[in-house]
Formats: sequence, C-alpha cells, structure tokens
Amino acid sequence: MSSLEEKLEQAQKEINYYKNRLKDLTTTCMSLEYRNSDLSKDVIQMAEGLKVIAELQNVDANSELDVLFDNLAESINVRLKMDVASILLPEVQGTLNFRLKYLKGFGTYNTEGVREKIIEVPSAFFESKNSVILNQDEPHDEFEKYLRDQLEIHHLIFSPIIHNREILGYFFAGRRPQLLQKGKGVLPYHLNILDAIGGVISTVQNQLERQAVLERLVEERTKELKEEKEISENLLLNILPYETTQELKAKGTVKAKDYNLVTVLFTDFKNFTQFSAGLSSKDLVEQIDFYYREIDQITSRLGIEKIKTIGDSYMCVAGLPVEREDHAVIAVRAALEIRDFVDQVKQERQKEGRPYFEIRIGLNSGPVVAGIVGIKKFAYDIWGDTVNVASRMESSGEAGKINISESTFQLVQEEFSCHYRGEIPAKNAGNIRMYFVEPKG
Amino acid sequence: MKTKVGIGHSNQTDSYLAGKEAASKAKANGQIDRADFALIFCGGKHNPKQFLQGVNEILPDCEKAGGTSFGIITDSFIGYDGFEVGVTIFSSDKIKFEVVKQGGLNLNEAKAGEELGKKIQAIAGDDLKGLMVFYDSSKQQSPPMLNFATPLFASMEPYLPAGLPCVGGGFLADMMLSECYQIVNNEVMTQHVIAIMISGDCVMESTILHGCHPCSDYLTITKSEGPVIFEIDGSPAIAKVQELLGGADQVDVKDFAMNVTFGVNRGDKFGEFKESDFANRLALAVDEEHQALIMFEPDLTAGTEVQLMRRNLEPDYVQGEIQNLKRKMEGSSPVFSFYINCGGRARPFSGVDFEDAEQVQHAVAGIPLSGFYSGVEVARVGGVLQPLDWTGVLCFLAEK
Repeated sequence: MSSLEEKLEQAQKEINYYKNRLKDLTTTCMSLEYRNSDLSKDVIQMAEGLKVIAELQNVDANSELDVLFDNLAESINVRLKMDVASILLPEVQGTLNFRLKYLKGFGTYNTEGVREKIIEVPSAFFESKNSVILNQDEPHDEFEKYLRDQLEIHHLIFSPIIHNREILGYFFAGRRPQLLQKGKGVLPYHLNILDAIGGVISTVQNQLERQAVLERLVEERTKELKEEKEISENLLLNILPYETTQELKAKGTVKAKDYNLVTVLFTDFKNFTQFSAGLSSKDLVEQIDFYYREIDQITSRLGIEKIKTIGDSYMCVAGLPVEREDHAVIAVRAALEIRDFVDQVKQERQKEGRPYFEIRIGLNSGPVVAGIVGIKKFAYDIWGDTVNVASRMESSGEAGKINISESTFQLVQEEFSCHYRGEIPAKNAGNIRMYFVEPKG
Repeated sequence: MKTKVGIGHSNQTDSYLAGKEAASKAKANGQIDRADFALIFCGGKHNPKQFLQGVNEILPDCEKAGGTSFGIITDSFIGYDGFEVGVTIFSSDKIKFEVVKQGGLNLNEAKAGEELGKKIQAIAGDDLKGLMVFYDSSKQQSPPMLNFATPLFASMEPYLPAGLPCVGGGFLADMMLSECYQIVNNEVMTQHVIAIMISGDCVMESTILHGCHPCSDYLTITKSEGPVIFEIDGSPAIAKVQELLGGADQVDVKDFAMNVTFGVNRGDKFGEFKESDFANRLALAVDEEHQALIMFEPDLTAGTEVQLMRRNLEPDYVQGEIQNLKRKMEGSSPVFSFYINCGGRARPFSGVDFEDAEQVQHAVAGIPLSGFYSGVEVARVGGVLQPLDWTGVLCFLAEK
C-alpha cells in the first residue's frame, strides 16, 4: 500500500470515527429531545389544569354556585382542550340520578341532546367513589358501556366530586382522540386534575356553607342591634324631644334655643303630703305612676312636650321644640283632659272609699329658652319668667280648676269659656290677672 | 393618506359576540373611519356564520376574507383554545386587495390550483405585488385526510408572475381535522382555496422561521407512495428513524407522529447552513403495520434526499431572521406584518420550552402584527412555492 493510500485510509478512518461520534451524540440528543418534548406537553397540560384551579380560587365569594359551575365546566373544556365537559348534580338530593346541568360542548358534539339525559349511577359504583376513564379500550362493565352510549363520546372521564366524604356530583369530560397527536384522548393526569378541582370545589362549598352560617349570624345580630337601637332611641326620646335627639346625634351638642311664645303647664296634687303620709313609699310611687301615665298619654297625644316631674308636680309645654300657633289652645285642652281624668278617678274612688287625688293646674304663655345643660344624664329643660309665672298660676289655682294667666287668656278666649278671677297676689310676682277656664257650652 | 391597519381579537365563547368584539377593537385600535378590506379568522370551536354576523355588525360593507384557524396571533395576543378570533382591517389609498376563490379542493387539488391560477392570471394587473393563499386543509372524509398543498401550489404557480411574493397557509379547525371553513365577503364555504391579491404602490417580502437544524447525514427516500414513506436508505422507514434515535427503547414509535421532521435542503448540499434553504416535512402519523411514516405532504418521492431535523428551538433565532427581513424592506415603510405559524409549533403541542410567536411579537415591534396557526405553511424556498411543515412564515407589507 502506498503512502498516499495509507494516508487516505487513515483519513477515512478518522472521518468515520468522527461521523460515528457525531451520530452517537445526535442520537442521544434527539432521544432526549423527544422525551423532553413529550414531558413538556404533559407539564403544559397540567399547568392548564392548575390554571382552572387558580381561576376557581379567584371566585367571588358572593357568586352563585350556578355561575361558578357553569364557568368551571367551560374552563375545563377550554383549558384541558376537551370537546365536552360537564358537572353533574343529583336530580333530586339523595338520589342516584344525575343531570348534566352544566354541559359545555362545542363543535359537532350533540350538546343539546345529551343535556336532556339523566345519568343513572349504580349504587355499587356510587358507594365505591370510583372514577372511569375510557379510551380505546373496551368497557369493563355495563356501566362503562352505558356511559359511553349516553354521553355520546368514546374517550371520556367520569369522576366523583367529593365533599365532606360524600359525593356532591360528578365531572364528565370527553374528547375525540387527537388525530395529529400521540394522545389517547383522556389521560390519567386528567383524573388527577379533576380530583384537584373537586378538592377546591369542596373547599369553596365549605366556604359558602360557612359564609351562609356567618350571614345568618350577622343577620340575627343586626336584628338584635336594631332592636337595641330602637329601645335606646325610644329611651332617649323619653328624655329629649325628637328634634333635639337628632341634633344631638348629628352634632354631639344641642344649642339652647329661644322661643318667643309657648304655653307652659304645671300641675300639682292637692294635699299630697297628707296623702303620702298614709301610704308606703312603694304604694305612693305606684299611685303617682298611675296618674302620670295617663297625663303622659294626654300630652303625647296632643303633641305637648313633657319637661319633667318634680315630686307631685308635672311640667309640660306646648309650642316647642316645633313651634305651633295653637300652643295655648292645645295646652288648655290638655289641662281640661287632665282635670277630667283626675275628677273621674276621684268619683270612682269616692264610691269605693279609696283615697284619691285632686289636682290644681296652672298655665301661662310667653317666651322661654329651651335646651340641654350638663354632660351627664341629659335633661331637656326650659327657663324664663314665663315658667315661674306658670308655676305661680298653678299654686294660685284651686283643686279641680284650670287657672290661666292674662297672656294665655288672650290666646284662648275665643275657644273656651273663661271666668275672670281678678288680680290675685302671687309669690314673688305681685298681683296677676287670673282666669279659670272651662269648655264652652 | 397613510395606510391604516387595525387589529383586534376576542376569545369569547359566543361566536357572534366574539366577531363583533374583535371587529370593534380592530376599528378602534387602527382609528379606522373607512374600512377597505378585512382579514378575519375564527377558532375551530366557533360557528363561522355567527362569527361573520358579528363582524358584519361592525363592518357591513367591507370586503373580507379568512376562515377557520387553529389559533390566533396578534401584537398582544396568542391563543389556540379554539375560541380565539382575530380581525385585521385595512384602510388604504395605496394598497388594494382583491379576492378570488376556487372550490372542489377535496376532489382534485391540482385542478383547483390550476383553476385558481387562471383566475389570478385573468385579473392580475401590472401592479400585483403579492399574494396570500389560504386553503382548507381537511378533506372531510372517513378516515380523515389532508388536502395536499404540493399539487395545489405546483399547478397554480405557472399562472403567477415569476417570483411573485407569495405566502399561504392551510386552515385547520383542530387537531382532529374537524370541518373547517373559508370566508369570502358574506359566503362561508368548505373545500375552497382563496387567494388575496395585493396590488398598488407597495411591496411584500417574506421569510420562513423554523429554527430547525439538520442532525443526520443525508438520507435517501427509497420507496414512497403519495404521502407514505415506506423505505429510507433501503430500510423500513420506521426502523431507520428508530436507529437514528437510538433504538426502540429510547423513543416510542407513536411519538414519531407530529415529531419526526425531515428537512429538504434546496440550497448548496454541503454549503453553510441557511435556514431559509430548508423545507421541513413533518410526520403526520405512523403506520406500524407497514413500518411506514405518513407525511403531511406527498412530495418526498423516491430519490429525494432528506435530513432528520432537530427542533429544540432557541428563542434568539427569530430576532436575526426578522432583522434580515427588515433590512430587505429598507426604503419602504412597513405597515403590516403577518405570521402564519404551524399549529404544531404552539407550545402545548410542540413541547418546546418557549412560544416562538411571542418572539415574533417582540421582533416586529412597531409594525402591526396579525396571523393564525395553520396546518401547512407556504412560502418560496429556493425560488419555488413550497408547502412547509413545522414552520412559521412571516411576511411584511410596506408602502413605497
């Protein structure tokens, strides 16, 4: 062999060596690439499944379960690249007949036809909590064959949604074999994905149930609070006029207000001290309460503002906090009703031989200042000479009579029958013109 | 007036609302007052008639062309769940669009191609600058089969002006070869091929993107029949590929479908690697009984030399190719980019670690982009119109 031939042979040997090395490397690289590609496809598909779960976790806590399941069925169809997906729920709770309520089928799948069907799950299968995956293989039992026929697709998955160890419903997903892919239709990891989705549904269901309990508790508590608020407001209204409570709530304080013309009414029980001497404190309070309750009814009904009671004296005023022109007339009307009530009780008790009260009532009309003083135990009160004169009118009156001042007389003389009593001295007020007033006719 | 292009998409499951939404967005995005032409595509799970009704609600008088697609690509959106729709509106004084169509694709692809070629030739003016051709990929028979692009384009090409820039794609509804549709104005059809003739004061350029590299010696197809390859280098095709991939224990034969890719080098056989010289051919299925590979196209006839291609793409290959394309367009003003990408290249189906359409979005930045995922892609390779598999075809349209 010549030297050239030897060199050529050696060169060819080297070429073959490197060619084989290259071929080995390529083979290794390509087989890895193919396996990597196959794994990547599965990973991507699983990642799509995780997206379905992520979407579920973003569900608005207030969303309806109907909307949730409808969106979920669509999401399974789209993300897992199925031809059809559905969530089956029992037709009647506790039965084994399941309706394909949330059915999402696209393309040529018989969506409307299948939607009408009821899937009857055998009790043994139901109890087992098993799943079915059907691909190219023949059905293993009658139920698998039944599923394939009823659901009208060859490759399918049918798996339970477990909630608190019970079957809430079933997932169904199906797709035709991917002609242009190796895929066999439905793959085992689809079952894992659906199981995971079922787990999230169970969690969502738990949340919804907890939320329902919480909502009920909140509703009950709100009702209690509302009732308590009403009680508080009523209590407040017992102490303060409505308008004043509103101002107090809005501003935290109430400004004293001038009223140009109101009518102040005082009552006092005659011989209260003598009366009370013969009663226990408890009985005495009961008696006063009996009379004051009725007087409260009368003043409330006529829109007169009760100011306070001091022992056996009851003080109220007409014409505030909401000003009204007929304050004097209303106040006299109230006085007459109070007087009549006390007289009526007197007559009844006289017959029964029981102790009774007689009442003096005095009224005066004029300007006052009204407001709240202090920061504790709020009390709405009125001040001014008008108040003092009204008190004098009461003390200068007679039991069973309504004694009014000149200023009140001027306001009510047309409405009532007034009897002039003359100028009568009043304590610290000099002589005051006074009138007894009675209903006309 | 400068050409305006508006692109919109939607992925609502209601076909009518999806069409309406995408068209509205396209109109708003492009600030279009006068719509001259629209490309419209809807996913395979949509009802195409309802989709068209939705589009017509917004674009009642505009000429339209499009059809069913496996997925949608826009500047800001990529989707292939079956519910995506995309609308691209053109408003231009300089660029004109004219659509011709031909049916009977399932009966005879060559005849359909020839008829379409004649129609194009009959109305083509001197200012014809480019052509987009879309066709129904699925033959709709049992078992399902593809309409072959090789005879379709081979018989069309003689009627086209020499070297006319041309891109195309086969419509695919889904990976099950479900019925897909073609749309021209208000007609929804099947088994049609449609051509959009682009004329005027404009220029069109395209490039192919696949990122694949040859990883084997040259292999010779020694026995084939139509799209079925029985033998390679005198050995049963499956056994030969298995040997190249390290044996049966390394890769499942079933994985060959949609994975095994052959490249046909249209350039210098031993020259420096040039991506645009390689036409990819993808295995559609395996016939284990006959140890054969069933390909997407029937053009790998006995005597054809191929190489096994590896396709573990690296994302940076896209940028370089698109920069080259932009350089070709220097002196003109690109107004639109269009990407026809193989459905198998979408990430869930390719197993590749990145979404190549995202790289395209980044690389064409500034030029309105739309496109669709297809069954087969078509571009000129070595000057000849060539159906391609597992490839992206990107084209730019520019005003002069």
